[in-house]
Amino acid sequence: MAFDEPTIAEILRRQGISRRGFLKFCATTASLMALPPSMVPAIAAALEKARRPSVIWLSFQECTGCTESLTRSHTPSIEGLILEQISLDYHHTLQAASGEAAEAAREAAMRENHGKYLLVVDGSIPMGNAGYSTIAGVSNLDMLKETAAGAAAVIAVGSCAAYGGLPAALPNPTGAVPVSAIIKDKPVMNVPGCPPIPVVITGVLAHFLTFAALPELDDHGRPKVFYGESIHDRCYRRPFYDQGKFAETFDDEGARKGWCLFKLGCKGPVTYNACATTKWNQGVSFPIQSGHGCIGCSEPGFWDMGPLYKPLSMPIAPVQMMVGAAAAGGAIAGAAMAMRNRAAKKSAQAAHQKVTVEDLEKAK
Amino acid sequence: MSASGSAAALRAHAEDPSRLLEAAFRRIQAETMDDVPILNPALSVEAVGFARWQGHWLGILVTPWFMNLVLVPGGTGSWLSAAPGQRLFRKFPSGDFAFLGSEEPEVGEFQSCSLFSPMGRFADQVAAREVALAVLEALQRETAAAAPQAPKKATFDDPKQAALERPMSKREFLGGVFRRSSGAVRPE
Repeated sequence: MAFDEPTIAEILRRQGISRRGFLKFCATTASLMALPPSMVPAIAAALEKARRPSVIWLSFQECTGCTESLTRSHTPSIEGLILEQISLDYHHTLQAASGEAAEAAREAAMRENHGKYLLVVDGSIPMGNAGYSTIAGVSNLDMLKETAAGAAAVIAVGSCAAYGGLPAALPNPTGAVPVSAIIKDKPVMNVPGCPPIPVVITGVLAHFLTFAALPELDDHGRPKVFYGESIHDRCYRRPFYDQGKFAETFDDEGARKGWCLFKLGCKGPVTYNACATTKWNQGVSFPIQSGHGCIGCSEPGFWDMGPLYKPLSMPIAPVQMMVGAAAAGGAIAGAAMAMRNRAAKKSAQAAHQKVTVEDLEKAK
Repeated sequence: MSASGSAAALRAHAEDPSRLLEAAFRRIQAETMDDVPILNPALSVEAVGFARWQGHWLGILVTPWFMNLVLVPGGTGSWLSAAPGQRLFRKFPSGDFAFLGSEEPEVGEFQSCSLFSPMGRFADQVAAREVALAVLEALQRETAAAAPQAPKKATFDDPKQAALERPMSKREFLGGVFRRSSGAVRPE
């Protein structure tokens, strides 16, 4: 990438997006990441100056579902805006080049943007035998190490890259491991889910572009703003659980009335993700709203957690004592998080509207 | 349990509703929670710290299967009903909290906001009660860092209403949000 590349703001303007639309986009990003509105000018200033960031996307032992999740999101949307503004210099599925030309593109991007590019990985890495998964004759392990060496940060997208995923399911025939098991000297952020919610992927990209740093992460390396509370705690069917009203089969009276799916194996109580508030397909629905329990796809080891349709059971002995102020703080922060997600959704809708219709018509 | 049905039969409580809530959830525990494998046997149903808040009753309900912030109507005038499954955001010094509507014969209509569930991490009732009281205290304290962005007033999280408040896009006109919201899976 040459140094006279246009900035993100310039590219947006060339596409007919007004200054106001651009600021709306910045506001959406701020609210998406639960940042105070006072941060909007800082985000705008950062993005004004930002050159198209180079992104190298490596796919290892995966199914392409994560790429599908991101690219099948409606356009134009905030996801689309972000995707168009990055310079996706290498992505097996999306790039036009193939063979040697493709690998040359990756090497060129690594050379020209050394220390600055973002590395996105989906899929796990086989440690059993280097020959289990190779790209252009290079093992996944070698390619990950080589590409991560010059990256500013690594984003492990999907449960395979984050935790090993289905390839790591017992007996783990390929010896699959997550990115974090190999890359120890770079910031690695996990964005798990099978697949992850697209707006979560783009939200963290926007955060990185603005602050040149990853957002705050939890114990599993996940951005707290999206993975801070359980599906169960923000589920719209939650009152039915509280009342002991459960669907016992998928076609009984309880199922028709939209009662709690716990007895049908819903893993919502132990799954941390934003599905219940951000939802899918631009806020249309999520599995529980469509009548199926959560399978816990963003949790480590979900593939080996027992049958999908068997109810959860909890250990009787308390694993960790919950005490006073600390627990209260956690509960308050968790309960308040729902509000942030809602604000994000609303302003994403508003920004979508303003950028695509109103601003374009009113642009001078 | 429709929204209109609840509104017509709204029961306002002049007295502390703690005993009624406890009776309702003890019945639920005996009737339907028997075979649910995630109850914490060290805990029991208890209403903690109920007090007047903006004309209504606010407190915490501890049970072996959840701990919720619960709001019970104390008067009919300023009460905003939420249909089952609908989120209603209420303002507190520490932030805005999403409540879901609910109803039981012993209490009538009430709303709850989940704090903990399942309850496996509480060693005993004393620990649960202590956390409940700490939550009630933290709720009324301004925490600048934790405070999410506030809306102007208590508002419904209703996609249909949100859709009506902004211009309609072509996509929506051609069968998007309006048809969708009426066809969504909703409890009766």
